[in-house]
Amino acid sequence: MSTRHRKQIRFCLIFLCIATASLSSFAQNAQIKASYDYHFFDPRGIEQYHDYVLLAASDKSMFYNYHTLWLDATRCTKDGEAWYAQTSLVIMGQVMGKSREEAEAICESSGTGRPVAMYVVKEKGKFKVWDEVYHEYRKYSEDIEERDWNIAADSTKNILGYECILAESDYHGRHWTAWFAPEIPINAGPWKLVGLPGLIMEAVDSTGQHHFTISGIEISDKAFPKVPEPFYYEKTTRQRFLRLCRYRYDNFQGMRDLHFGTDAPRVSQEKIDYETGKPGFDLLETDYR
Amino acid sequence: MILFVTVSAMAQINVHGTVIDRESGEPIVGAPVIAKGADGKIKKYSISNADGGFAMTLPSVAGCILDITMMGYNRQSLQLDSVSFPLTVYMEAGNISIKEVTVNADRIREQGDTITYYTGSFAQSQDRTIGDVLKRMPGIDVADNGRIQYQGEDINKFYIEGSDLLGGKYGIATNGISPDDVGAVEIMENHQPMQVLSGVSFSDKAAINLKLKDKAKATWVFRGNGGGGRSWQPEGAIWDGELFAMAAMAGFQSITTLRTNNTGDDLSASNTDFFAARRGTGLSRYVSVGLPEVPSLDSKRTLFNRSFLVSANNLRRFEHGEFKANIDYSFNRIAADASNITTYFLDNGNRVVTENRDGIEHEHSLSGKFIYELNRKSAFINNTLQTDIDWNNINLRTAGSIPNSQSAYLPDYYVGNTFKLIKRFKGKHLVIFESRNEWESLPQTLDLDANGLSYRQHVGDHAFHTHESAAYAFSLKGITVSLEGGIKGYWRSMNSSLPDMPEQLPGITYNVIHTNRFTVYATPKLEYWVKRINLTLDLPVSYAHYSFDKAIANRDEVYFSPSLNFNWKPNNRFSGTIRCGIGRSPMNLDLIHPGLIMTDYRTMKSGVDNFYNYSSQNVSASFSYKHTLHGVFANGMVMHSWSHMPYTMAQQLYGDYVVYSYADADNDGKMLMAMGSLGKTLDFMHGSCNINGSFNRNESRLLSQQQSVQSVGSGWSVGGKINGSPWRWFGFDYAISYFENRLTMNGASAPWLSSMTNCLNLNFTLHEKWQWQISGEHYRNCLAEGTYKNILMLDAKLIFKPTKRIELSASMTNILDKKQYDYTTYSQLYSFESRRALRGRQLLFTITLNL
Repeated sequence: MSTRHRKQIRFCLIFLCIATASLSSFAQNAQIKASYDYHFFDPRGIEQYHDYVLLAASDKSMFYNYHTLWLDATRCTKDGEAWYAQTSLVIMGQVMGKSREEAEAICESSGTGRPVAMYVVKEKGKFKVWDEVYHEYRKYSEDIEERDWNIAADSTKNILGYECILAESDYHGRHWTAWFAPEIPINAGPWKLVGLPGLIMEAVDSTGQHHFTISGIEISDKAFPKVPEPFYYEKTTRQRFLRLCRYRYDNFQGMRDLHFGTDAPRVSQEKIDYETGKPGFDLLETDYR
Repeated sequence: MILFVTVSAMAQINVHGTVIDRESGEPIVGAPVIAKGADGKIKKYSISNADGGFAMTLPSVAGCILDITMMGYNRQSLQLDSVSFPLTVYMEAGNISIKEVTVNADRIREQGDTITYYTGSFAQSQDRTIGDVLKRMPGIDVADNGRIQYQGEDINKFYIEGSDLLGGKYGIATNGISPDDVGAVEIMENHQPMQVLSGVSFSDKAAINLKLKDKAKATWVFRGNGGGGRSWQPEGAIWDGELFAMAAMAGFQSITTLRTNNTGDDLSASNTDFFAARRGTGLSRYVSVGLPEVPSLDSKRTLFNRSFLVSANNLRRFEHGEFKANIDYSFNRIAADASNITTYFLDNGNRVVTENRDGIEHEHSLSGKFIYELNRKSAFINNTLQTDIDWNNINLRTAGSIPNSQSAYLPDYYVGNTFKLIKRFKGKHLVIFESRNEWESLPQTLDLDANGLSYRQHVGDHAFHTHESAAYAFSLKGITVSLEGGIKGYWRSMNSSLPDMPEQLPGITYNVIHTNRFTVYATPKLEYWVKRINLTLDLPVSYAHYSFDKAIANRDEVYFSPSLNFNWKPNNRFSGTIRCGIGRSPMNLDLIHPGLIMTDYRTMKSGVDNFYNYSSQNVSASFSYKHTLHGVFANGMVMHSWSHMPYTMAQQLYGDYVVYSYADADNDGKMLMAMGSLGKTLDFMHGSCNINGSFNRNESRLLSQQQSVQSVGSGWSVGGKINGSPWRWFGFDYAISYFENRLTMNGASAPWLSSMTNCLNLNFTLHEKWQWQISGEHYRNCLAEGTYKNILMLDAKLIFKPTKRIELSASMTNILDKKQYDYTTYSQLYSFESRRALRGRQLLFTITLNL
């Protein structure tokens, strides 16, 4: 091969790289934005409502809480962190001596509350997850497993004006029933529920304890935001993270010791009883045992 | 069996291939590939992998269709029995349209006591100002005059980027700022504007903050429009112009606006101070000459105006507080005319009585407000100097049974200064000092020419009011105890003269009155916070000495008016309040004048010749509920009050003249009022809706021709609004309102009179650059039992936007050219015909620039 040819090939390769890079950077914008209500019972048996946003394109999606993203991004700046520190102090003063329910309500309704911690990014055949349990921040990445969705083409349901088709599949310890909209041809859905030829609009597990419902959908060309990391996220695996979560519900005192150290004041039995997992309730994924 | 399995295994067809972007030739990742049977149902599906590849097995492909759809590409459908595998599917860039349902998270958001409405999700393309968008936000109500309420309560502050630039004249902002410049509207519930009082004193009021978009911050924003055209009634040229300049920077804010029109656009919403406190000088006009009343249609149909308004507002922030200056001037010339024709059916022929009234009013108003404020957690200082000068001239001609012409000159001069200082010590102790001094002069002159004679009523009225107060408060374990004490001084002198008056009227026609007052007062106040309950008890007690300079006997009085307020807020969604109070108050001092004052060409008024107190009780309950995630806002209120006055207004007719005076007779009044409102976002069509209702009943007494008349006025109303933009090219606003009222005198009820109004506005975006608006109102007003007046008004507007900064429009209002609002009512003895002029058809061309 002549030098000239080599040069041409090198030039072509560089050009291809640039083209691919510019193409992939072009692909970093979402095509749709949807909002989901996540209604669930946590392992303590306490009913919770979280709201999420899904930004999705054909090859990437991001599932996150709007407020958490805002708060974390704010805390990544110097001024934002100063604001957070000051406001948190004020809130701490307000919750002193208040009942648990009141304190939780005050914390959650203040801008500094962070009731929803999870980010799920689907990209290049992997899920990247950022999450938190008892102020312990973890991130992990996992391969997207093939799902064996059984489509019941005759079972349909109208959601937000779309005719949705029922599909069922097992995933990470739970049996999921999902409704997807073929009219929105995108392989995306709430949390890690994907793999259907249309957007998953609603999904509920067989116990009925975990239920995602779409509440809005819009065309969007928003750029996918970067997941902000205002604190150190320790790298882990899915299984290890789930076991840590379980530990928090099985041994609350142990979890506290892990986070604060054993010098911290002991927790009352009443608090431990409240924080302990209850039979019949579990994490969103149950295949960690 | 083995044979069957083999056959079926052999019959499986492997449907596979690649999905490629036709333009780039690149494989497409993540494209859903669906195989559908002849019945259109999904048989199998696959999603293209990183190489664009897909694969699935089907028992048979007969009649099957392969559908490849993907966001950003046109749909591809292939008959599976006519293709061979591997397939290569080329996708062409295109759009798949989806039905959008607004993502709730981005419409209304709640954080603590702050509710954020994102402007973009409520705005429609025809909205000109942020005020148009506020009307669509559930929970927020903008009245016709521009007053803003949140959950049924007036707001207590209006901020732009956290700065209170305009005070109560926020109409300048709501009628000036473009919705494109506002990112979000924030409602701050339980807003305590004075930081020093936060956590110490409860506020049930909410404030509004406009969050500007970055492009409108730290720079000047200019907007201007100029328009000209022709009107068919009043016949002639019309104009409409506006200039608006705004700067919102870190240490400096400024809004300057200039508006003028003669198209019937009422500018008073931009010039009203919605937070104006009652003036301590407490003067009110005796002379009341007004233009003929207009039919109850939208003011743009009935206002014959020439208006001009200029307002300059500046705020500068320093290290030690901020300084604000607001200067406004407005001019209004309003013309109105009316005619009534009464035909009496008599045996010897009909008798026709015609009354024509036509008048012109000139109003000038100049006001300046200069404020220094320091608002910190440890201290609050505010000094406000305000001066208002108004001149009003009214000329009114009446032709009919008493042909006459009236000319009233009614200026008003006011200057006031308020100084307030609050200091917080050791976090728990507060010391408050306030000083308020006001002076006002309200001269009134009415010249009347009737029956060839001239009369002149002149009234001179001056007052000075001073109020010095000090307060101390401390809070401990959720209880705030405060004691406010102070003195008030009030000096007022009034003189009136009417040198000549019609012969048939009795009484004296001059007054020289001094009504002076000196008050010492103390207001202990107890505020208790526990869990989510706030309890406030006010116990104001005062001693007042009144001196009347021998006109009537001097008086010494003690007043005590306790009130209790209970608020319960179990969670962030619900808030309930119960209030009650009793009190004893002095009468209006301007009622003290034994001599007659002519208030218009056929009305004379004389006041009381004694000093009275009146007592009142009131109880009210209100609630508000919101669920921001679902976009639901609701509020309701019911109030009952009782009053007892030992004097009653009496009416006596002398020929064509009416004389009002007061008599020593008990007058017990009652009032019941209830209202409610429910609003909801309609996300599926980018809109919202609201329903509301109200009821009121007023009971009072007056003496007419020495007969006691118990009068009861009742009224109720219901209304609804809905708006939306279901498609990008179409938006609409619709409102309906219905009300009925009735007057009952001594048990004899007049029939219920109703009025129904329907308003519809449709907006079509025909093309990116072209918009077409059509709007109209229909009124159905009940004139007498079973007699209705219907009228339909139609407008249209065409807008062309050649660039982002320029907009050209042509509008035609009152297309049907309805020029008169006439109606006739009949009885057995006479017919009554009323005629009012309406603004006729008008054509206006406008150019708008946004810089």
